[in-house]
Amino acid sequence: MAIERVGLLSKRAAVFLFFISSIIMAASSLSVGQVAPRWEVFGGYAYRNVDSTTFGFVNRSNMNGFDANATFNITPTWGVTADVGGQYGSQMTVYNFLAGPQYAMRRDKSMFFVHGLFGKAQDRVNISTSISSHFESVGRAIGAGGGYDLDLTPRFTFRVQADYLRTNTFGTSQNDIRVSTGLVFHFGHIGRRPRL
Amino acid sequence: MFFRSPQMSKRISVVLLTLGLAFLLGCGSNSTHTAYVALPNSNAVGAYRIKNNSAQFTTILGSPYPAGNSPASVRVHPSNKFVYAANQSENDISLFTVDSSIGSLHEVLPRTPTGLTPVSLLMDSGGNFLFALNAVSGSISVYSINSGSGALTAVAGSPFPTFPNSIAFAITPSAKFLYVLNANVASVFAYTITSGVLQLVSSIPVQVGNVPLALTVDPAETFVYVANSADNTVSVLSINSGSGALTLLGSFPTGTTPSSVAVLGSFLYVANMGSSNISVFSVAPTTGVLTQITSSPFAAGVAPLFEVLDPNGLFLYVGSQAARSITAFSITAGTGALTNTSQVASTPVSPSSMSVSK
Repeated sequence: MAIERVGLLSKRAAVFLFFISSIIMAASSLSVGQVAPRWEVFGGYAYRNVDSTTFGFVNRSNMNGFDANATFNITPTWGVTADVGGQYGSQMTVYNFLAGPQYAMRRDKSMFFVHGLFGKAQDRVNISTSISSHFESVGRAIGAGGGYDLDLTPRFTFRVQADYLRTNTFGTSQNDIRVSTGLVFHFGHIGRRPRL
Repeated sequence: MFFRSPQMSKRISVVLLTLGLAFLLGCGSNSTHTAYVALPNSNAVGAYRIKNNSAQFTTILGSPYPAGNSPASVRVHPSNKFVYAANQSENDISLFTVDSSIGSLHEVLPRTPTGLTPVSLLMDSGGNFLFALNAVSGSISVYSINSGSGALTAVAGSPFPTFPNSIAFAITPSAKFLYVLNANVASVFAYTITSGVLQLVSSIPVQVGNVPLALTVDPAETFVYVANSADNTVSVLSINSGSGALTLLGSFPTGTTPSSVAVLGSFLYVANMGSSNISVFSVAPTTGVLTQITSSPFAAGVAPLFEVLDPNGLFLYVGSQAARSITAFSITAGTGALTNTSQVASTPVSPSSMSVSK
C-alpha cells in the first residue's frame, strides 16, 4: 500500500523535484534585484503528463497545449499570479484556472521564481458509450512550481517553467506534472526606473 | 532572505533530490487487467481496472454501462476487444466493444436472441464460440464469434436441448467437452463439442449432491468439481479423456452452503455462502481426494457467492451480493493459502457474475 502511494507520484514528479532543487541551488548566490516590472505576462507551449490511470486509463496521458499567466508584482520580490492553461490529448482535454503568490529572485538579466497556485480544474474525456460521447468533471486544483526567465530584450524574456498540479476530478485525485516554455512581456515598473 | 544562505539552499536541494530519487525507486509497475461485473438490478455491466501486483481496483470512467434487462452473466473475449452479457429477463445477449485505452464499453445493437432466461455464458479459450445456458427453456444456444466485429451467429442445430432448470455449466480448456449442472435432478450432463455443435455423451447423467449450485473443470481436464449447497459438500468427478464421460469419485465436506468452486493448479477453492468463508483443498492428482489445507477455511467477508481467479494466478476475487462488493484475496504459491488484501471494489447493486481479461 505504501509503495503504491509513492508510486503514484511517478518519475515525472522526480524530474520536477530535481528542477526545483536546481532552481534553489542556483538562486542561493543571487542578490535580490531592486528593480522589477509591474506586470509580467507569459504565454507559450505546455506539456503535461496527466495521471489518467486514476479514472481507468491503462497508462498516464501525455498532452500538449498552452499555458498563459499574468503576474502583478507588489514588490520586486513578491507578486500575485493568475494562470490559465489547456492541454489536449487524443481522448482528453484538461483546463486549469489558478492563482496564487509568486516569489522572485532577480538579477540583472535573469530571474528565478517559485509560486503556489490554487483554483479549478476542468477535465473532459472522450469515450463513447451507449448513453454518452464524453464525460466532464470540474474540481479543485492546487499546484506548486517555478521557473527561470532570461532577458532577450528590455521588454521580452524567455521562460522555462515547471509545475506540480494536484487535481480532484471524476471523484479521484490526480498528480500531474506540467512543463511550459515561451515568452514573457514586461511593462510598468517598481522601484528605480529600469534602463531600457 | 531565506534563500540567500548557500548552506540552507544546498540542504534543501539535497532533500529534494533525495525525494526525487525515492520517487523514482518507489515507482511500482502499472501493469493491469480489467474486470467486468454483471449488475442485474441496474441493468448494467460494471467495469474495473485491476493492478496486477496489488489487485487495487479502479472504477473505469463511465461505469456501469447500460445493458439489457437484468444481465445475469458476463464474459470478456480473450482478445479483450469484446464483452458479452446475458440479459436473463429479455432473453438476449448484449455485445459490447471495448475501448482499448481505458476499457470502457459501448454496446453494439441489435442484441442477439437466446432461449428463455439465459443465466450463464461460457466461451472457449480461443474465443471462437459463445455458449448461453437457457434455464427455463432447457437449452444451450451456441454462437460462432466474428473475430473482427464480435458479432454472434448461431451455429447449425443451435439451441441444443438440455433439461429445464440447468443453472450452471463449464467447458474444458481444450473445448472438447461441456458439462451442464441441472438443479432439478441434481445431476451433471456431459456433451462433446465439435465445431460448436453439441452432442450428449450419455442420456444418463451423473448424480451429485442436493441443490448443486456451481461446477468447474480443472485446467488439466482431469476432474469436474460440483458445489452441493444443501449437503455442504463438494463432489469430485473424473473425466474420461476420450469420451468426456464422468465418474463420481466422492464427496467431501465443506462449509455451510457452498456456492462456488474455482481451481488453481492443485488447489480447489470453495466459497461457502452460509458460513461466509472459503474452504481450500489440495487435490490428489490421480485419485481426486480432497484434503483441506492448513488454516482452511479462510474468512471471506459476507456471504461469498462467486469466485474468479485473476489471470496471473496471484489473486482470488470473491463476489458478495449481500455486501455489494468484490474482494481480492492473495494466493500463497505452494500452499494455496488465502490472505485478504483489503482491496475491495464496491458495486452499486448486488453483483451476480464477473469476468476478467488476460
